[in-house]
Amino acid sequence: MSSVSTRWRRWLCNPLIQRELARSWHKYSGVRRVLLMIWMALLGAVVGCGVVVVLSGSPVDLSGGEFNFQPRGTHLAALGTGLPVFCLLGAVSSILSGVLPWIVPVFTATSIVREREQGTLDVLRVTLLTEGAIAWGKLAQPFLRLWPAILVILFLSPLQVIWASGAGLMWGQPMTMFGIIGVTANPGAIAPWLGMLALFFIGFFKPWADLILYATIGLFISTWARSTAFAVALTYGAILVTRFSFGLLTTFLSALFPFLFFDPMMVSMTEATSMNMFWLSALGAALVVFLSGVGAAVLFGGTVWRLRRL
Amino acid sequence: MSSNYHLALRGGDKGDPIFTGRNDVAIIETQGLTKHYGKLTALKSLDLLVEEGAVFGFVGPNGAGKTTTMRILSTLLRPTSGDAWVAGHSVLTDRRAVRRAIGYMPDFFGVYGDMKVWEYLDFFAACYEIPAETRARLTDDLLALVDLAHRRDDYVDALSRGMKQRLCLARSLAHDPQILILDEPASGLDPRARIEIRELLRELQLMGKTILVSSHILSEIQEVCTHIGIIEAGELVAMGTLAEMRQLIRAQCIVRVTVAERFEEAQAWLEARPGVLDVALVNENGGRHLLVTMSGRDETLSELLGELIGAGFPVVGFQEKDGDLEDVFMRLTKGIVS
Repeated sequence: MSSVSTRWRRWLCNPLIQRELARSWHKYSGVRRVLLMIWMALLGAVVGCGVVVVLSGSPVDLSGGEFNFQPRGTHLAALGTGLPVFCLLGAVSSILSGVLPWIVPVFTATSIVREREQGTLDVLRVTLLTEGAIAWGKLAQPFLRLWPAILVILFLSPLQVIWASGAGLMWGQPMTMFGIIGVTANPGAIAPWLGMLALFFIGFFKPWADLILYATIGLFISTWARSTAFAVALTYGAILVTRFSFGLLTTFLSALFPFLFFDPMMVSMTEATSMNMFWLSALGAALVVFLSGVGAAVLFGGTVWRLRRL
Repeated sequence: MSSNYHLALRGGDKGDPIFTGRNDVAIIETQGLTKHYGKLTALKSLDLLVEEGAVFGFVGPNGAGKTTTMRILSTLLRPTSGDAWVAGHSVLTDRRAVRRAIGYMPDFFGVYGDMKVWEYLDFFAACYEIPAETRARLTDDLLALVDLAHRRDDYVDALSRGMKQRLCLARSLAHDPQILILDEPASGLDPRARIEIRELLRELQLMGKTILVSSHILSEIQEVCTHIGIIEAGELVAMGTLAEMRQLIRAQCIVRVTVAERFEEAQAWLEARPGVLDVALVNENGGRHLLVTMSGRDETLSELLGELIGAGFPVVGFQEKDGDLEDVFMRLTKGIVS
């Protein structure tokens, strides 16, 4: 137990991470720090507002024993059906989710090759830092440097799901339906709630899985490249290939198993509202997240291996 | 310091292998160290021995294999075959212990220019797992040692090259290593900075550090080092104490003879003496001298002096000229690059 905590402490007390944290803290000094605090307060207010809306009640009208997805007029989610807020959150989140996967790999792609170019890699490697610790520090670097944007994604992505749940939109709808159908069918069953939880976590992890996968692609390439420019170009190329491959895989699998990658919203609009369909839909999304995670782990291992042989 | 070295010469001059087995007093030892880069052989079965407390000068032409050897000893490179032990730890199997025992300064080193001087040292002290509560004092001590205390809060980028070199040396001392491996520490420095580095090395030797230092500047090496190893084309040409290395060129000796008058006559007389190989009339140190190259040792010299005085030459100076490291280097190396 103690060795586990020591290991965690060692990973968190990695000097590369400490240095980056100190740099980030100094970077946001004076006015910048005040602006950041205001931004964080606003973000907190939005999160709080979202929680209030969700907790205020289900938007689904169950009167008459039939499912009715019209939001009730009395509760907070009905304030414009939550659409404007959802769209705002969606816009910010989508922009950041769209842009960050292209920014983060630039940091990792240049990290090791730059150390090599400026002649600091050898002095770093000859210290007691293990290759794993160096790779971990370099992987964490962009996340620490871009932490305000990362935090936005961290908060907004699940919030978007929560909000959508309240407003009865997209992921929220199947989540709500999971609950409604499952509980109506079998009030004591835990499966519907697990399904809701699964969908929530998939929605939560998807942007993170993308970010980490692309970051590790950059990191791995950085150990091979001879110049920063080449590393960035190669990383972007590799990310494009990865995206294309995932797209191809999804298309291929959805052709074979149409229900697997069926859009949850479309599913909910059809009469096919059976539990199995939702489970499979969740499974398909989870598969993509899982593959991203496995890919990131393999690339991280490859980076450590390569660092040992530089 | 009692020498545990065995003077060794290439090409079978001594016949036997230089070393056999692990040596008890050696703090650095390599056995059959070989490194290939593709078809290029950088090291050919190198057997090196560095005694504890020594300042070992590692000299050789460009491409001789000095940096490759040092990188292997620093665990940055894996040998193709052979093994090396640093402070009793194998560079192949106990890399972490080796890293704990050494401070390494590469020939091409970079610094984090956006860090302050104290931050730079603090960062590397953290990399060596030195507790945060002791790092502040350690940083101050190191800065005082390398005479950079007055630049503590400056950015590293603002330092001169000589200062960066000293800072890098301080960085390599952060964890108080037993051994320092310094690859060309004085390259690219102005004369003052070189002298400062030299003084620093002397100070470190007094502190009990073993130093393995490579350099192209032979005059500096011989001023600092207690032992020398000459490498060429990946092979160790010679290795021994400084005195032993000088002994190498003593099969012939050069004597500077100064006479008050009759230089030409003295030159002709000397040229006719048995054992004298060459006599040159030179202007050195504001005076005329005869440089006599001759075979033989001390007895021959005293005989020559007696005969010279007996022949009526007004001898005012008779001094054997020391052979320096450059002479040894030029005699032992052939300019081969692997």
